[in-house]
Amino acid sequence: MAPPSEEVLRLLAAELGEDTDVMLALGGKISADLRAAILARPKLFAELIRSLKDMPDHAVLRLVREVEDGDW
Amino acid sequence: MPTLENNALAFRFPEVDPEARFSIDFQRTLRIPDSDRDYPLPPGFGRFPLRHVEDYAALPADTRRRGGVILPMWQAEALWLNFSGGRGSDLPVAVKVAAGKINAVTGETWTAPLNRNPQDYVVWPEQPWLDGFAIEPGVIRQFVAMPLGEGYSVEEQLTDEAEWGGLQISVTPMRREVWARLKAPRPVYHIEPCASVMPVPSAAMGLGAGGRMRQSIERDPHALEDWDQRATQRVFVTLWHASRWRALTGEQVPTEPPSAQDYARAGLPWFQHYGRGAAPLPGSDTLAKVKSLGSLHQQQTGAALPGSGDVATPEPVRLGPGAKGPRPIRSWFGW
Repeated sequence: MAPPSEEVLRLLAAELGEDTDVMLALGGKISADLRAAILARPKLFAELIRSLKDMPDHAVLRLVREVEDGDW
Repeated sequence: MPTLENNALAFRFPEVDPEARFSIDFQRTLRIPDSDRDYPLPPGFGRFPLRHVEDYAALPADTRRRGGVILPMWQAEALWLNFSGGRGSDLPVAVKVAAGKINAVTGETWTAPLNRNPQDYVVWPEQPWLDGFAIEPGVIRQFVAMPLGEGYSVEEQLTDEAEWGGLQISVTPMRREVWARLKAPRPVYHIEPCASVMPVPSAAMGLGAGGRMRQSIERDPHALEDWDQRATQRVFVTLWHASRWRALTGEQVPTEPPSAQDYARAGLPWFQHYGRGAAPLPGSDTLAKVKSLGSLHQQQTGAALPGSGDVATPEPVRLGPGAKGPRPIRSWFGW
């Protein structure tokens, strides 16, 4: 049986309160926006993903930009 | 510090639990009628977009100095805060929420430490959502955005100033040793019901007090000492008038949400959260005295706030306890 479509997986994730990207991955898919980002700059993203794929989560997360805190 | 992921603020506390992740997103919703009636919980219509403040040099200097994130809202649009955890770890966190630096639970001015007398924070997972200012036991007044400086925000009513606006949030994890003790087995509960050449003029918004809604603010079931206040992370959320969003970000302007009347006409469901049976916090006397948006509008203009007529609501759908299951989030035409 074919896996559910991206749209179905998105709806399923929303209904179950699960992370959409995780749900898509369980269905063997990646979201359209990620696919578009990779296809727009395939060499750069291929290199980036290959260099990160074996790194531990905490090391990868350091690359995600933090929300800056200021003076308030 | 939190990260921005899929229009949500993600907080991680690897020093407490490497798996722990807590996130907050801001849900678009309908503005409930501002009358004497207590409404059930409305649904979410999806996440507001969030952007890093530091990416927009055209923002006013004081906004940039505060850092944090920016979110577009229409005048008189409502929101609710949706709390969620990570897969495999439900590390409890204490969440302090203020609007214009007025604490949404106590009505007092923002202070950094967690306080217990009165409790000035909510606890996740006991509290899955926060929709407004706590005014009475089991009743809040909905968070509704209004331009800062027009006298509608709770901040302006209580301080006579329009200085901060927006939302201020801090998240404090449970101490590692307490979490290790609680982690397994989980207790069983009884269920009862700047640099810019052309600065963008300020379009800052503050939150006023909208209609009355049934929502309990749950008591902290833990000891104050159980929270690791050295690990607290905080963020300033600037609310930006949606009509100025495109000028600032170049992105499409979010459409206006449906009204309560539209929603009621469509016969869609409303919701009620059932906690774990403990008495809720009493609500704030200070916040209870704040004038609602509807009454202020009537006072200032002599006319009723548009969309303020009561609507019929069916028996609400019951959610909870702990309600880690999602509060339904619907797509809406025109989004």
